[in-house]
Amino acid sequence: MDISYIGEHSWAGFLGHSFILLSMVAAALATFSFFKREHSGDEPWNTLGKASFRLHSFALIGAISVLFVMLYNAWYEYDYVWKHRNNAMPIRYILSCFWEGHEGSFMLWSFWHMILGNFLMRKKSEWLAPVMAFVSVAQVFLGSMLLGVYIGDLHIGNSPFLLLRELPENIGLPWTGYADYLSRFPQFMDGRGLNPLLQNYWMTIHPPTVFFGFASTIVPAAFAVAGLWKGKYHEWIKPALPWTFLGIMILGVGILMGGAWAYEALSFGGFWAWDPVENSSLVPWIVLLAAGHVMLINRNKARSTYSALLLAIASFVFVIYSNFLTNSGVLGDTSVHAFTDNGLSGQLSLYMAFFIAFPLGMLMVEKSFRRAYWAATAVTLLIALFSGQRMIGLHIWLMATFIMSIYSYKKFYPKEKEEENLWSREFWMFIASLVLVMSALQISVMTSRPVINILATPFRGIIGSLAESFDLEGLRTLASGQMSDKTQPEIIAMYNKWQTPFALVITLVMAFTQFLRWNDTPVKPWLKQIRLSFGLALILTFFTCSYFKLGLDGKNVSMILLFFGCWWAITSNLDYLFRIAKGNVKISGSSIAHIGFGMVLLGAAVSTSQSQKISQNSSMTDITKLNQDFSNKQDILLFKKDTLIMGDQFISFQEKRKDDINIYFRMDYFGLEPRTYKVGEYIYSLGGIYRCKEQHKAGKDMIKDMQAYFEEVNDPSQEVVSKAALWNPYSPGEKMFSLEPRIQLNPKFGNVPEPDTKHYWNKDIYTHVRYGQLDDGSQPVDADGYLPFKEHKLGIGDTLRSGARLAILDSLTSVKDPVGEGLAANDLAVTAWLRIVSPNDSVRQAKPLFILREASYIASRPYEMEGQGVKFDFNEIIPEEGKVTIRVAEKEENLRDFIVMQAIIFPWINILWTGIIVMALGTLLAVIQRFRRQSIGS
Amino acid sequence: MKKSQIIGIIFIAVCLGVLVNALSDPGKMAGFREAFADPEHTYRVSGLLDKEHEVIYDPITNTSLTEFHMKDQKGVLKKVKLKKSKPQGFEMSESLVIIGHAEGDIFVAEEMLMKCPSKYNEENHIIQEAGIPVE
Repeated sequence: MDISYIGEHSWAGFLGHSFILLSMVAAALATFSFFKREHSGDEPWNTLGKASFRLHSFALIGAISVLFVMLYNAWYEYDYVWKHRNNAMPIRYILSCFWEGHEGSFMLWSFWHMILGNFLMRKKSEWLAPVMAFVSVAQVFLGSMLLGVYIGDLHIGNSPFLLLRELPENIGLPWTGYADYLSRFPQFMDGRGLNPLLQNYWMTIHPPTVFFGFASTIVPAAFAVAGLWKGKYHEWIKPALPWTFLGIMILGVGILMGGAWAYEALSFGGFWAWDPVENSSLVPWIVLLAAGHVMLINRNKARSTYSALLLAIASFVFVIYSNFLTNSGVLGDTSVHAFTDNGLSGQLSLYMAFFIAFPLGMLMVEKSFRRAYWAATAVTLLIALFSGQRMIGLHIWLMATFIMSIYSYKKFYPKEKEEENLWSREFWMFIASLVLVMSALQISVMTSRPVINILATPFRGIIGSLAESFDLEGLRTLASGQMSDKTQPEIIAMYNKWQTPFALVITLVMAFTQFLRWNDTPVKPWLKQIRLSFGLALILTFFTCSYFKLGLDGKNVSMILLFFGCWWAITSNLDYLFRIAKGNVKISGSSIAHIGFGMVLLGAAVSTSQSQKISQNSSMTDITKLNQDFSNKQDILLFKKDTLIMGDQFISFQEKRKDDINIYFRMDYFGLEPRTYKVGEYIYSLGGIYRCKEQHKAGKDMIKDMQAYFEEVNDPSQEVVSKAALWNPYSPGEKMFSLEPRIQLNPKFGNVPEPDTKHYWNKDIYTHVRYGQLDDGSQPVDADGYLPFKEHKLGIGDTLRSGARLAILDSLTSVKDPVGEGLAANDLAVTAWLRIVSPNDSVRQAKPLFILREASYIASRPYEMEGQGVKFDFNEIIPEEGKVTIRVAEKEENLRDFIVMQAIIFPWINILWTGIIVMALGTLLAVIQRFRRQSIGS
Repeated sequence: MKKSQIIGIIFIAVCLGVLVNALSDPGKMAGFREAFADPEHTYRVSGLLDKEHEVIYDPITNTSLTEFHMKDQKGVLKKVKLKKSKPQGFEMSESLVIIGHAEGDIFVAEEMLMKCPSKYNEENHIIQEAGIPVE
C-alpha cells in the first residue's frame, strides 16, 4: 500500500542521508588509515587517509548544501525545515535557521573540525597521522549524531533530513494517508518558524564563531594525544601552540558576541547573566587559556608536562561536556534558555565516556596501564548498561579513573628536581593557570548542580545520615535530591563572590609577570620596572573611585581592588609594549592581548558593579500614601505624551506603533535645564500652595529653595490653585534622542520585550519595557467617547486615582445660589471640591454637583474637565459612613497608553567591547608570529 | 613546607570550598504552614499558581505589585503579594518558588522564580491535532 506522495522533494532527503552516511564511512576509513600509518609507519596509509578525509569533507559539504537548499526553498515536508523556518521570516536569517536546531549545530561543529582537519593536513610532518586520526574519529562520532537510525527502541542520531511523516510520532497518523497532504492541509504550507529572538544579526555570526572556537579545542587535544602516542611529551607543544591561541581568540570573541546579542536582544538587563549556556562556553575557554599558558611554560622550561597534557585534553572534554549539558535536557529549567532532551543523552554520554577514557588512558603512559584502564572502562560501561545500575557503574568508573590517574602520575612522570623560583616567569604563569583552572571549576561545579544531584542518587541514604549527625543543611538537600532553586540575583551574587577574587589574582599576575624573566629575575631592577605602571594604576584607580563616588568601605573593597588589578594589568602591559617591546610586532602580541583582557575585565567589573537603575518612579511623589504596597524601586510609569524626569534627562512617551511582529514604544529624551521661577508663579508642595517672591534659578534642595524664595498663600483662590504645579528644579530642555524599546509579539514562544539602548562613549542608557498594553480589547464607550464610570468611596481628605490623575476630596459645600448654577430655585445642591493633580505637575479643580430636588428627586451633574477627557460625578452621600461616592469616567485614549519601563545606566561598557577587539588583535598577532616562526623553522 | 605543597593545599581548599558552596542552599525551603507559623523569617515556598483566582497587576496604581494565589506542595492556598512587576508569560508558568515572609494572612514575596514550559518544546502535536479530518 505504497502511496506516491505529491509535491515532496524526497530526493533531497535521500541525498542528504547518503551524504551523511558517506561522510561517516569516509571519516571511519580516514581514522583507520591514519591509525595504521602511525602504527606501521607505511606512508601509503597516509595517502589513503588524506584521500578519505577529503572524501569526508566533500560529503559533509554536500550534506550541508542539501540542508541549505531545503531551508532556502522552504520544503516544509521536512521536519527540520518545518520546525525552523516559516514564510514570514526574512531570508537573511536563513543561516540562523540552519543552526537553530541540535542537528544543524552538530553539523556546524563537524564542519569546523573538517576545515581545521584540511588545514592540519597541509603540512607534512610526523604529527599528521596521529593528529588526523583523532580528528577523524571525532568526525565519526559527530556524524553518527546526524544518522537518525531507529533500531527497535534504540535510536542513533537525529537526522535533519527526515520527512515530517517519517517522524516516529507521526507514523500512522491519519493525514499520512493522503497522497496530497502537502497541498490539502494548511499546516504544511507554513513552518513553525525561527524564534524571532534569534532573528538578530548577532545570531547569524555568534553561533558559527562559538562553534569554530569549540571545534578548535580539538587541535591541542589531538596533539597532546599524539604526543602521548609517540612518547614525545614535549615536542607536540610547538606545533599545537598557535592553534591553541587561535582557539582562545575565536572562542573568546564568540562568547562576547553572545554577550552582545543578550545585551541587545534579551532583556535580562546586561550582557552576562551566568546562565548555564553562557557558562558552558566560558568554561572551555578558561581551560583553553590555562592550557595555552601551561604549554608556553613547557615549551620554554620543559616543566609542568603533565599539566600541559591534561589541560590540552581537558578543554576538548569540557566542550563535549558543555554540549552534553545543553543538549541532554539535564539542566532542565535552571536556564533562561530552556533545553529539552534531544533523545540522544545516552549516545552523548557514551561519546563523553569515550573522549574522557581514551585520552586519560593515553596519559597513563605504560601500555599495560592503558589497557587495564580501558578494559575497566569497558567492563563498567557494559555492567552499567545491562544491569541497570548506571549510577553505581559510573561511580566505580570515576573512582578507577581517579586512582589510576594519580598512580600513573606518581609513577611515570618525573618529579621536578628543584622547586620553581619565586622570581621566575614560569612560577607565576603556573599560578595564574592554576587560578584559571579553579575559576573554571567553580563555574563548572555551580552549573553542574543538577548533574551532581543525579550523581548523588545512590548515596542519598549515607548523605542523609551524615547531614543529620553534623546538621548540615547543604547535605540535607543533596540527600533529598531537591536542590533548591536560586533566584537570578542570588545566582549572580554567588558567581561574583567567587570570580572576583580569581579575577583579581589573574589581573595582578598579568601585570607583574610580563616583566619577570624565565628562571630567575633580579628583584631590584624588576621592582624599578614595575614602579611606573603600579603608580599609574593607583592614580587611575583613585580617579575611577572618585568618578563613581566610591568610598573605601567594606562592601566596596573587593571591587576597588579589582579595579586596581585591571588598571595595573593595562598600564603594565602598555608600559611593556612601549618601553621594552618598543612596538616590535614580533613580541608585542601577548602584551596587546593582555591589555585587551584587562580592559574586558575592567569594563565588565565597572559596568556591572556601577550600573544604576535610573527608572525610579518620579511621576507622583506622594502616591506612596495611597497604598502601603507601593514601592517604585525600579520601574517608571509613563503615560503617553507625559514628560517626566528620569536620571539626568526628561523622558516622554510619544508614540506606540506596530510594525509586523513588533510593538515599538517611542520614547523621546530631553536634556535638563535649570528651571527659572518668576515672581508670582505658584507651586504646590508639602500640602500647601506657595508663591514665588523673587525671580531665581531653582536650587537642588527643595526645602532650602522654598524657604528662600517662596511664601505660603493662605486660603488660595481657585485660580491660584489651578495654576500651581509641583516643585521641580528642572525643566525639559532640548530633545536629545529617541529610543524605541519594543515588545515582540511571539505567540509561539511567548511575547518578549526587547531593549533599546542609547550608546555614549562613556556609558549606555539601556531601556526595556516591563509592561505595555498590547491589546486593543475594545470597551464600550458612550457618545462622547467616555468609558463607563468607576466608583470610589471617599471621605474628606481622601484621594482617588484615575488614569494618570489623582483626585483629592478637599471639601463639600452646599450651593448657595442654585439659580446661578442653572438649577431650580428650591433645589438643594452640594459641590464636591476635588483637587486634581496631573502628572504634568498641574493642579486643577473639579466640582461635580449632587442635587436634591423637592427632597426626593436625586440627580447629579458631572463635572467635565475641559480638554482632559475626564469627568467626575458625585452621585451619593452616605451619612452613616461620613463618605460620598465619586464616580470617574475617562475617555478611552486616557487609559490606553501607558507603559512601565526600566532604564539602567551601564557606565564604561565600551571598555569591554574595545577590550575584546584589542585582545583578539593581540592574540592574532601572536598566532601569526608563531605560525611564521614554525614555517621558517621547518 | 615547600611552595608546591602550599599551593597544593590552597588548591584543594578552594576546590572543597567551591563544592560546599555549590551544595549549600541560600534559604529554607518550606511550605506555607511553616512560613505563616514564623512570620519573622524569610522562607522559600514552592508551589503552583492557582488559576482559579485572577492574577491582579494594575501598573497604574503600582508598577511593582502583582497579586495572585498560590498552592504550595501540600495544597495550602494563600494569597501572595509579589513586589515586582508581572513577569512575561506569568499565567503560563508551571511552577513557582516565592521568597518572602508571611504578613497577616498574606505572603509578601520579594523575589520569585518561575518555571515556564520549555520554549523549545517541539510542537509536533500541532500537526497531529489541528483540524485534520479523520476518516
